[in-house]
Amino acid sequence: MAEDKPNWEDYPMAATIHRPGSATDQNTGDWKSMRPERDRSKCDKCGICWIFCPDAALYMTEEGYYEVDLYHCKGCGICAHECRKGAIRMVEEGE
Amino acid sequence: MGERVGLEVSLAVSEAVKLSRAEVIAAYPITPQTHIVEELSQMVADGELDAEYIMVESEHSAMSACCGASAVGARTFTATASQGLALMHEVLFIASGLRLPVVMAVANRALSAPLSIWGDQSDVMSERDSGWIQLFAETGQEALDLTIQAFKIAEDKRVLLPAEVNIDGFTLSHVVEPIEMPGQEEVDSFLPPYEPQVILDPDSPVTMGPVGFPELYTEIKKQQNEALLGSYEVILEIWDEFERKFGRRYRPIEHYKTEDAEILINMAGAMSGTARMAVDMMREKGKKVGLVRTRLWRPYPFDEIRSAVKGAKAVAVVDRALSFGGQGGPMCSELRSALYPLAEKPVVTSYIAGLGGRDITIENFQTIVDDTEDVLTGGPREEYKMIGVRSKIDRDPGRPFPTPAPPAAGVLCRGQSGLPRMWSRPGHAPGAEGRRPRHHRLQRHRLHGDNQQPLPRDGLAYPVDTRRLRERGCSRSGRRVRHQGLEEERTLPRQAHQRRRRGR
Amino acid sequence: MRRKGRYHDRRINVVAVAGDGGTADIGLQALSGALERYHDFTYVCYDNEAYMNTGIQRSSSTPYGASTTTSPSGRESIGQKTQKKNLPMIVAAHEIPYLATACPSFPLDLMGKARRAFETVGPTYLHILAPCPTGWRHASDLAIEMGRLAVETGAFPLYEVVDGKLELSIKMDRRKPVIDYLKPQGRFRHLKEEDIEEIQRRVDENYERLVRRSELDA
Repeated sequence: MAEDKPNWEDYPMAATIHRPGSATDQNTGDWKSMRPERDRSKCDKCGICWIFCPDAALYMTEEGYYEVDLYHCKGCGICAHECRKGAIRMVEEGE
Repeated sequence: MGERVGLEVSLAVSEAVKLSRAEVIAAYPITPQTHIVEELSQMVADGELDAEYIMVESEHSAMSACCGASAVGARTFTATASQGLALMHEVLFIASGLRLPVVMAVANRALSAPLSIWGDQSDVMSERDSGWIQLFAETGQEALDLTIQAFKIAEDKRVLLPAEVNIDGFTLSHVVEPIEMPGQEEVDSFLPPYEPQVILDPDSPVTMGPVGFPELYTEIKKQQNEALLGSYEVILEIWDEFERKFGRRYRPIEHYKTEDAEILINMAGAMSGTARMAVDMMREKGKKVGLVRTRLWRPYPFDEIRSAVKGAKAVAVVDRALSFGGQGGPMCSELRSALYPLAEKPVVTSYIAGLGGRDITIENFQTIVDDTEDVLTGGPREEYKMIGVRSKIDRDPGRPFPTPAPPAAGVLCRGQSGLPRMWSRPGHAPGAEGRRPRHHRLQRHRLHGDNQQPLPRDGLAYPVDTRRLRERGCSRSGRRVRHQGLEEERTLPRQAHQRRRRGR
Repeated sequence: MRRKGRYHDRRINVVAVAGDGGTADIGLQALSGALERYHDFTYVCYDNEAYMNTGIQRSSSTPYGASTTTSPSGRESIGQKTQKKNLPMIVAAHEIPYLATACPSFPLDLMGKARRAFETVGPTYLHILAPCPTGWRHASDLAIEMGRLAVETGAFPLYEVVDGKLELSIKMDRRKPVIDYLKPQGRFRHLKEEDIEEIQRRVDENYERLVRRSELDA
């Protein structure tokens, strides 16, 4: 909405962004059509899915498993394809 | 006060950069600025200037490197001319958009094609909209002073915009002039080290120049424009400080014998020196002429120029650049726009001279003033006139000043002579008082209907006996001939409206 | 700036990242100038073999026979008519301390090469193959697989050039046939047998040349 946008006087000079990593605020995952579902029983915590994710949308939990950050996962399916144990499968978004 | 030396102006600019303690110089050589960068590289090689000299492989890279260095907080400098300035065109907008105080010296040179290494101002006129602060120097002293001032203006926290100093290629860059060199301590006290607001720093990372979506682009451009407009006050302030410290006074517009002038010449650059001499000579003959020289080009000095030309009857703007297919002289079109809102304004005539390094002589200035006087006494006026162009047609091909606008329906009807007229109402056309329409121009338009008449081949409606004109001392364009209405010269009948006006 | 005490007094890793277009085409002049001037930085070329972000237009890094929007395959055209510009070798000709080719399908190799590039003082160059499902026209989950096949067929050989000496990163006695790499990609779908044979011939020639050089340099 126009009301909550800053005025020209309030923008930082030359639109310089002063907060590093601010791009992660952007929610890039909403247009995915598939999302990964993992079966922890099959996972051997090898980390291949984490390395290969093009969006860096996987994060490691305390136990060492890898969970998906759905705000940034685009549903490409690489993790499911590369998992050696078949612990990940892609399901339709909305299920 | 410093010592007075005779120095080539390019080298004076290098000295200014050295005195300003520039930290990064990224430049690519191009005639006629090469001496500036050669001298700077020698200074760095000899340890006289403690700077990083990056020998880039093109002007595009030169400006890009300056932007990068400035973003890290260095005081940066580059120099270029014509094709080089054109090559770095896209990066100029980046420098001003990122608000980086890069300083550049431009040795104004004509743009190719055909290839020209000689001076004119077309290169900088193509960069009017780039958002840079732009200054024109007339003398070597000015070139040195403006360069030092440019750093201070650009780096001022209220401004933070890149600045360029324009010196005429060859006519100024390669001449040796007496220059008073300020001392290093004096310059240091005037110009402290650059204190950047934001720099690229891994310890506090920033993103400079992100994507500007439509929602915010306009606001950022407003911000930038306000900075450029606001720099006007800062420039005046800095010039006052400069006067106090160094004793030399600078103003956006320089006046020369303008107090009671009826005709003013407006121009920028080194040729103003010749204009000054021409003004003196014409004053001796009793003509009330003066010179108004533009020093500050961007931000445009609206108030100063309006007050400078007040009281004059006419301003003849001499442009050293040509805007093809447009208004002709860029400086003139800006002046006309600046004067437009005024209720009382002088007549503005436009002249293009000195293109591609051609000399503008005192005679040229006299012709310009004569021509302007002509216009003032009711002579026909052109949009702009190119001075001294050799031409087969014995009158200047500058577009005629628009007299009446054709009616909206574009009625093209036939006059009694069988030739087309652009207006449908018989009698004289609106706005034509004191101006004689050029009927040969009207003949250029297509004829409708079956009363086709062949168009004259050379654009002239009638042959003009130039030999007779010269004997009479009339101008080559034959304008006086028409004034005096020499009937025997005309081969085609006058149009109805002309006969009516003459009372016949 | 560091010398003057106006900046951090430690080595800052300067990294420039550009795509294959910005490296091989419009930016080649600038890259060459920067390498020649021996700036201490790392240049990473993200090679997805076309101007992908603006809609899959060809670049000089697009391989022979690939169909892009500005080099489409058609009745009269095979797609890209010219060979992929050998950027790593162009960079190697500048005699810089370190350069490497890498692929995300071999992540540990890539990470090692990146670290080496950052740590080496002087200009360093990383050429990284980035499979693009949209542009290469294959299923998105096969991206890593494509990168793997590119390396295993020899279409994108992995190597490093350290101070002028070439070192192959993977020793492959037998490479997979290049058709395994070309077939799943829609951009090569129009290729005929003779075209594929031509591509295979060139891949073989190129790879063997690299092997010979690495043996010479060893």
